Amino acid sequence: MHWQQTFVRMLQDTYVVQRTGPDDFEVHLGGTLCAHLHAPESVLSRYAEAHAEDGLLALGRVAEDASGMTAALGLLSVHVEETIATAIGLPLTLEVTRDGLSRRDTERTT
Amino acid sequence: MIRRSLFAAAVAAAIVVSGGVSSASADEGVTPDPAAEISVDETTTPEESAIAEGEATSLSAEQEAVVWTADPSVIEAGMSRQEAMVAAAAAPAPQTWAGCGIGVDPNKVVRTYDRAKILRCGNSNYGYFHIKAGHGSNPANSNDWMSKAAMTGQNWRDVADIGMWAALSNPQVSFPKPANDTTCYSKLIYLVRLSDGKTVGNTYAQVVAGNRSNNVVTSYPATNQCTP
Repeated sequence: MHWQQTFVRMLQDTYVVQRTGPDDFEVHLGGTLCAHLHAPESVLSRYAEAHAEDGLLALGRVAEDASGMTAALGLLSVHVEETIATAIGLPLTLEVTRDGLSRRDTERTT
Repeated sequence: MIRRSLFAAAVAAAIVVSGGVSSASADEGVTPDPAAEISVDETTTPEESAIAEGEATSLSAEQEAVVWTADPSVIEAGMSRQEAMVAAAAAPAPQTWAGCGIGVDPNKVVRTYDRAKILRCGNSNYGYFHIKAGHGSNPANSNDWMSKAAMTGQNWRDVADIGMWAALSNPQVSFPKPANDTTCYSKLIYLVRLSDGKTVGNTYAQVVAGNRSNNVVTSYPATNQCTP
């Protein structure tokens, strides 16, 4: 499974996502740079595995994935969106970790 | 559900904004504040009855968007009395959020909204606990429900619940996102200070909920509508 591709596709429902490196992306909305996002495939995989149960609880089977890993990435994509939507001052610097989304500019994690 | 004076009408609307979902208290399980509930005035005039009963269903799109305002200056200009009455008539019955204590079942229902969307206790990833951690009482984030509640003199859960109720019952924008099987709902709400009924700001209440699960993932006050 290509978790990075799945995750980016979810973000693309809302944003224009441009790859800037193997694990790095720029997230744009309406021509505005909203965030620099660091999301390595290996970390996304670990996150999805760790939060699969929550994914199933919250969203059920997303894309008919019974493991919950796709749903977990669905939650993560919502967290990216809400972090950007409530931020004061863009662009943000975001990093996906095994535990969730880390905001590097303020060290706040959601 | 009618008030006698224009000022009282403004206060009524302010109370509706808070009292519609009075004293939501998922942590403490506190009962609603009776003072925040809509009171019934027995001396309703026929004119007021007509406003409440007849005009409540004839709002323009613009009026619909500002149904939550209760700015007394607008009321003095003779424009918002109807809105205040409509708000009073259209407000939901007061509800208390169910409690979410330590070790609670994440599936426990906190509150059910229109469109069959359900706020559950959840955990750090979704539901009540997620909203609380990220947007309810996080001092690092001044653009959250807590900061809005500080403006109106309410509990953050009350303001959050008002926003969620407004966004889910009659959203101005609903934006489905097929890739993660969610939909973002949003609506402009006005923040009314309880102490004097003045409108002190506004925000776009956004709610993200699962399409098939119907669970609320999160809600937050944003600077824009859901973005298509």
